[in-house]
Amino acid sequence: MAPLKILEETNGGILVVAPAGRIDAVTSDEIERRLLGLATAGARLVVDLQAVEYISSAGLRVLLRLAKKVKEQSGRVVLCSLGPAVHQVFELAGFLALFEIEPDRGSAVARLSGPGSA
Amino acid sequence: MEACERLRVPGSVEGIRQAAERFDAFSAAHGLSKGETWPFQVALDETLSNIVGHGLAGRASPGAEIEIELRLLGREIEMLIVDDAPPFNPLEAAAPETTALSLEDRPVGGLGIALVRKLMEAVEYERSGGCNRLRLRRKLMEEV
Repeated sequence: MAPLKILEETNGGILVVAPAGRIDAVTSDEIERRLLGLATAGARLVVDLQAVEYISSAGLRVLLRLAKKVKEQSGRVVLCSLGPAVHQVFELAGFLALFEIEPDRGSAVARLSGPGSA
Repeated sequence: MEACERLRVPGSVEGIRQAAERFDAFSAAHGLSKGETWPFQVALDETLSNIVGHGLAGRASPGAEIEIELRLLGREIEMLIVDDAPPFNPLEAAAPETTALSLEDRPVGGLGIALVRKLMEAVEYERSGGCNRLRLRRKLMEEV
């Protein structure tokens, strides 16, 4: 099973999840199943990518499907802590503009806690 | 520093996993960090998942294998990936539009080859002896 830590649920109902290792053609099915299962009605999710070594297009597709499902469920997702490898793949794929992205977990949680959050 | 390793993996998701692990072992054996080598791992994942998901998909014989040659040449790595699936030249595949579309309009998929071409400095395709031969090369990443 691909490691995916479900770290904490803050008082405000924000769920922080942190996949670890590779998000690639081998691990993406498992990570997708687990992430999409968290996208319940009105869910507010932070996906912390700090422990991700690298991501390939299979992993990008997972995050895209997650964002679409979260939106359908009237929820919101913020990505944070992209390391250099993950950031560069996002940039090359044109994904930086598609997501709400914060530099660290604290600012991601704050973004979801602030005014205008779901 | 020069080194070469050849491996054969099954044409399956399990084979992709084996290739990623063998690449890690090759890198570690030559003192390379993941920060220096991640573009090769991404390119390997994209190339092999294309071969497994499309090239070899539906093949009657389950014993298909993919050959991979890893070469470390100073501060460069070259990977040669050989499969005997039907001809497929990734250099002729159109790069998908990756910037202008909104989240809702963005098609799921189609990104892998574009990423390989952007991440690698040299991508050469040859069809010979009934095989697709894809050669990928770049220098190691500078770690930040």
